[in-house]
Amino acid sequence: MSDISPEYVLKRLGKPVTDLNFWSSGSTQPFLLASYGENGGVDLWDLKTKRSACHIASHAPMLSCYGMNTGEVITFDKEGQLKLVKIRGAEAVNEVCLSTPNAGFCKAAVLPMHFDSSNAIKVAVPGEEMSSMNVWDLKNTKILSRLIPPDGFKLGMPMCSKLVNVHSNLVAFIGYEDGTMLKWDVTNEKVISKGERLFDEPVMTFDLCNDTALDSAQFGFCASATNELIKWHVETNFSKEANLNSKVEDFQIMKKISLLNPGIASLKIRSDKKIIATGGWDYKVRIFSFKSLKPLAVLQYHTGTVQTVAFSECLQSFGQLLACGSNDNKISVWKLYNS
Amino acid sequence: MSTASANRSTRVCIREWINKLESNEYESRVTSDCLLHLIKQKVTKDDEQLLSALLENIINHANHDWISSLYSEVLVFDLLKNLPSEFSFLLLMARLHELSIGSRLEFVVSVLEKLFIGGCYRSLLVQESNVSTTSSHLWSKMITCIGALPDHVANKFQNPTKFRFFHSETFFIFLGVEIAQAISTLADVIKNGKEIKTEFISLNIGHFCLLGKAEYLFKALYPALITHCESNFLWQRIVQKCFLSVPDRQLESVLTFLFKHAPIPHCLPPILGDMVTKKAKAKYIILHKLLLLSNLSETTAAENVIGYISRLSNATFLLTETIKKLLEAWGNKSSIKHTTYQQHKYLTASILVCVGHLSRHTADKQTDGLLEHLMAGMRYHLESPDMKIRKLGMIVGEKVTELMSIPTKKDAKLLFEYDCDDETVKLISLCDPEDKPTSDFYQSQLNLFEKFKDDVSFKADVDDTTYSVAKSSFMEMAKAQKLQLTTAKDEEDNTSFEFSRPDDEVVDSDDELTPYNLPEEAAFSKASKPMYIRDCLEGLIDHKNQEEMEFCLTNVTHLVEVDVVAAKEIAVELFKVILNLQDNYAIDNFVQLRRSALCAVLVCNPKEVAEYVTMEFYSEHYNLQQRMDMLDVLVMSAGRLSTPETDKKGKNSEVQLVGDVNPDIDESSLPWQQVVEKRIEAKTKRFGKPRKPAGKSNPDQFGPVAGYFFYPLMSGYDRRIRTLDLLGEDSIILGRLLYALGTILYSTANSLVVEKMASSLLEFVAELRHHLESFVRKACIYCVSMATVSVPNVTRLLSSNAFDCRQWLCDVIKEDDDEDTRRASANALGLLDAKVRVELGMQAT
Repeated sequence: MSDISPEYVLKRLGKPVTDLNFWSSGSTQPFLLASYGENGGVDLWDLKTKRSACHIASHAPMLSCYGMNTGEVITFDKEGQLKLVKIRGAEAVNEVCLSTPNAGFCKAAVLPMHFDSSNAIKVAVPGEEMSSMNVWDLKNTKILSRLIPPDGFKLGMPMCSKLVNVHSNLVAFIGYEDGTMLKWDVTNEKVISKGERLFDEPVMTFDLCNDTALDSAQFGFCASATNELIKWHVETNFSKEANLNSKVEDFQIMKKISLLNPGIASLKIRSDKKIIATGGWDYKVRIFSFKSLKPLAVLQYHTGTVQTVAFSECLQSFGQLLACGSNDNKISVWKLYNS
Repeated sequence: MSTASANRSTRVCIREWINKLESNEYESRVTSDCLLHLIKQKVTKDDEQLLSALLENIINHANHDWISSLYSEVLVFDLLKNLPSEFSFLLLMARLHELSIGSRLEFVVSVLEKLFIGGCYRSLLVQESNVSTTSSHLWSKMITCIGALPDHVANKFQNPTKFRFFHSETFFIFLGVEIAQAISTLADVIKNGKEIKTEFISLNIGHFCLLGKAEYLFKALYPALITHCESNFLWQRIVQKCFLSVPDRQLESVLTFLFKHAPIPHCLPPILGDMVTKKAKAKYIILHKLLLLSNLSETTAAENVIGYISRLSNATFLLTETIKKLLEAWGNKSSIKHTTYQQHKYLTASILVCVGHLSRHTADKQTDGLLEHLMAGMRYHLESPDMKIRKLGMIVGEKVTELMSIPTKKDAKLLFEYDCDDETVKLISLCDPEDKPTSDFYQSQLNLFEKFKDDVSFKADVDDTTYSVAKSSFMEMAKAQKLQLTTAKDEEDNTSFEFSRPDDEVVDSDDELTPYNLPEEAAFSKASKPMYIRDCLEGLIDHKNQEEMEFCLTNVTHLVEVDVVAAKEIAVELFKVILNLQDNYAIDNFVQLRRSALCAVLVCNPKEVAEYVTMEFYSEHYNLQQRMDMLDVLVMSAGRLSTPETDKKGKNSEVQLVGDVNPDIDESSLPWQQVVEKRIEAKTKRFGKPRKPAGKSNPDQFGPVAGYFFYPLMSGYDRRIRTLDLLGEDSIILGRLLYALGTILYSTANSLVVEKMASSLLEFVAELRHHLESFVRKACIYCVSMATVSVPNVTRLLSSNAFDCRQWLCDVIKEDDDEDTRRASANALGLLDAKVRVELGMQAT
């Protein structure tokens, strides 16, 4: 296939882009949420008009932003401010605002709505102690669990995390500074994986999705400051009788590939489980096949580290989009492998 | 009393026979009877004289028929083999001398051959080694005679097909085998508790080696010595004594051969023992002549010498003494200059072998005095203009300091940077002494001896028996079958491989997504490429970080070519900046990058930049490397400017053409018109050839500016400044300057200025051609050659300077120390003469 170029490029503030998420709330309008570093705040990009529909201002550099189905946006900044913002037209109203300690690099992990039957908004952010993470119920501003690694683990800071529900048990995946990935049983505040180090360097980013063949298992891809990209598979078995004794499972490494240049800053799996995208320190976005990790495309557009990549759901009249945000202040939007 | 009477009777008997033969005029039957009778007689020493007279008479006067018969040879041989070998040899050899070619001579030689093959020489050796014999004057006479036999036979017969046994090679190999067998017999003698003397064997070996026959003599003998001395103590004693008692005047030829041809150093100590400490002459030959005074291309001798002494009892002392001597010779300034590279390399190799062995003797290295010699020597080596010599200096420096473990800091070592080619690898590998040989080695040596023994044993070949024929045919069949089996197996392997491959593809084809064009992966770097030549200049001035500098340096060439106008404006400044660039970041290929960048800048504005460079060449604030860079850049740019533009373009279009007519192009991918045209073209016949367009001419770019490159470079060579002394120690720059001038002159060939430039170059050369450094002299010769090939009319040049030059070239061929220089001079002279001949319209002879 021939070369490829972005559909369009978005740029409004001269600020580095830190996080991107597609958001289609109850309204028909699909948005692209973009958070910026420095004091850039968060933009809601209207994908039809290609303009910012709403801007959430912030003094501190933003780490992450996430849009809830209920029409709220959750933002998290470097000073540890975790906010729930209601969007009303072009107006943004803070609903909840709470301060968390030790915000470093780790983005806030929100349990996606479709995982959760309850109305609570569950978010994981770094906790008081080194290496610890707290899971909050944001609506009620209440800490549900504190995930403090047991003695003997020297993990460093948490770098990235994800919350999922497995058989209606809340499970957190966290990647740490020393290259370890851990799986937590959140309710019981217990580690349920062996805690092997996957990398020699910090886990920079990972993404996971359910294994359609096996209900309780996930596929995941993770990458680090090294030049390696790993695909793993993990099973989580909660025995029904003793909910307390969840089994400890390994991350099974299915495939490992090496790139020429080290450092992957961002990684996402597309929801149809066909491709994954990585954004690297070498300014390039790479597309790999989900199954075999075969390289499919290299998107050369940005001139700064690609901090974040995001896939949209299949949007009407847009298809499935890929948005990449970079330190060069630009957001490029691409259309790839749309059948 | 009885023996005396017996003697008398023998004597009387012989007398009677002499008379009888004379009276019968040596009739065949009587002669045979006489010999048959004498064979039965017991002959003692006293009778020998008489007997020899009898035999002499028989040989001289016997009936011709009798002499030619086979029977006669057998009779005489039977008689002689029972007599002392010494007597038989001398008798026959005296005859050999006196007789002229004819059947009588042939008879004598045949009998001699029979005697040798019959083992008379061996028994002679054993007999003369008896402790009771005293060295007689006969010994030397006999040995001389034996040694001269091949020559005598060859001279007498003048026919190489006759008496193959007496061919030099065969004969001396045979003698070697006989000596080995004699030693083996002597070993048995000692085992039986008797004493022996070895002088006679020593004399034999020594004399034959002195004749220059060592190569043949030791061909079989050496392997035998190696094998037996290793395992047999008696052999060791006999052989060591043998070599020890070789006379001084013959010792050198013996030892030189032994050391040059020992397959491994390990075999020498058992053979020679501690001769080097016992005999002053031996020590002189081994440690002085072989190491310091011989001109050898192979390092084997050095390895053997040092391997030998390192295995003696007081090895460390000897090794230290040797390495000191070697280093002294190695570091001698004049010897570096005046000996050949080959010889110097040999010295270096010797030192390295010494280092290797010394480092094995860990305790008590006594390396005190070494440093002094090493340092002086290294300095002279590193100063040398010859890269190869410098490299030798570096290698020795590294290895010797490693041996002395001079640096007190741990792991700190003296390390030089040099290219590793085959030669250096070979030299460095000399530092690792060889391991002790395995029993296989000795077995192979023994086989070698047996092989030679068989070769010279002159036995009839064993006939092909039915059994052996059957066996060989069976073997052949088996071989063929085996071959078939293996090929069948190979095919099987191949097929299984074929099967395994599609499996992989199945896995791959599971991905239905087709990849986009993947760009070639390149290492990532953050710096951005400079877009304009001025940015580049700024980048080079700032050079904040490695990446930026590397980018600027690699892109200068491209940017200069893209924007010639802008580059021309800032050419001099750009050149200055690049020339003064320091390799602070250890960039790969820094020197090449800088040189090509400088070259590009110079080419874009030759006049101004060349003026600047040639001026800077003689200014103070540059190091030698920078000056050499300047010369290189001038030469490169001159070459580039003088290449006609059309050439460059022509090459490019040619490359494209090749791409166009690529037969692999799939027709279906071309537009249909092209396909049709192509087919028409293929079917069309054309008569007559298409005319080739005449070559386009372009203005000469270099001719007009050549003067700026050339004359200023010659202007300041005799000025001495603080950092440059061309006529003194910086002769390497002077040589490079001459090479540069020569090449620049060559680049101006075909332009108008060339004749003037050539004659000024020859004048310049005239002042430098008697330089002490051969490198500079060679550069002068190069200049003369360049002048010869560049000018259109060398005869005109001859009238002024070239004649003088020619005379000088002749002198160099005659007198120069350096072999390479002599060779170069001869080449230049040939070139000059050939050109004159062509110009005068003479046919080349």
